Amino acid sequence: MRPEDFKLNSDYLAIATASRFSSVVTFPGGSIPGSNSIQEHTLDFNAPALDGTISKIQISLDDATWYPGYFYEYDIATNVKARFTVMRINSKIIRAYLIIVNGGDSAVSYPAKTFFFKESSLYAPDMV
Amino acid sequence: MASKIDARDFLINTDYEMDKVIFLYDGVIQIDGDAITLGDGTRREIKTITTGLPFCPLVFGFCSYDKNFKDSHTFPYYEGYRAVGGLPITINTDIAFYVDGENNNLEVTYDASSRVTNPQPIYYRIYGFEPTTSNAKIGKTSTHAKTFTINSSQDYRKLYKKGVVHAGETEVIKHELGYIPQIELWSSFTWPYGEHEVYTYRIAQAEENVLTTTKTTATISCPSGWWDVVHYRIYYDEA
Repeated sequence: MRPEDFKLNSDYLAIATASRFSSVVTFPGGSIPGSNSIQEHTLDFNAPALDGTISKIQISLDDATWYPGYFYEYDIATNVKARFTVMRINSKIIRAYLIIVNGGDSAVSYPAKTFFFKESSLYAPDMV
Repeated sequence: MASKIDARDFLINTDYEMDKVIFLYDGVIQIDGDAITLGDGTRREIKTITTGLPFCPLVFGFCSYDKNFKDSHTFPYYEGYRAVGGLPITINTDIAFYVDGENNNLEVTYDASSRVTNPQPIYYRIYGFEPTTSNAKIGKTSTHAKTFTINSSQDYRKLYKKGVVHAGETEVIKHELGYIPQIELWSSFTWPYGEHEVYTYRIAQAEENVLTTTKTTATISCPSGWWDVVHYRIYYDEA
């Protein structure tokens, strides 16, 4: 048989949604020196989840349009890149990162930046 | 397609299709004597999992340093800084997996920088789905578990729509759900270099030119010149 022959079938494992979490995160503006310097900002969110769940992240810049995936890259200036990342680091904490890399020669200022994220915590009930 | 009721009000409902997992593979990968040493000193361990499937499955999974999967992470998992725009980075460990589309096998890779003297083993669990481009008949889920059943206490994901978008095409799906749904995406592409040439990856980067979702639409594109096809699965479940 094909999996698609049935809407529900106990012969097939299925993925369940265990919990959800959403938040807004704002990183402050600042300045980064040149010469391939790297700055990392982090913010932690208290978001308990079951052990062993699969953390599925979606990201938004305006809370209206959403993108799949757990990281988003953008340009601050020529040769200055930023990566916003949201990852569950353990069963209690979701950590948001903003990593800025300045590949230019001189220091660059950057503005505060706000992001939105949603996490769906998924699991398959046979795995515990 | 059911539309008179709110799918979120039910844990299991026969009006809605559940997305069916066709396999579960779990195991552990560690850097040992057969690891490959790359040019920058990174040691790479590769583990091949033979699926025996007649099609290239859509996969996702997660990994952990703990065998009981405390502190688990979604694949691919990067620890330490990652490359931003090709600028200098320091990578400690890097575990990822992909499907080799030529033989439909899974390959789990574990890269450990030369700066990591004693890399820990990493445990993984990988799930697979059948793509809409396949019409294969397969048995029940292949898993290590002795028993499993559908349990009405679980909020299983309910499929709204699934399909593919081909290179150079864009599909606008009017879901009209009124909320942001969960969506999974995979890309299949041909890479003309290296040992293998056809791969399928789960898309992890939030790329504006691949998918944008609002409370009423999902716009899915497959950029030409790189990917061959984007597979998508949209769920009634709220993100």
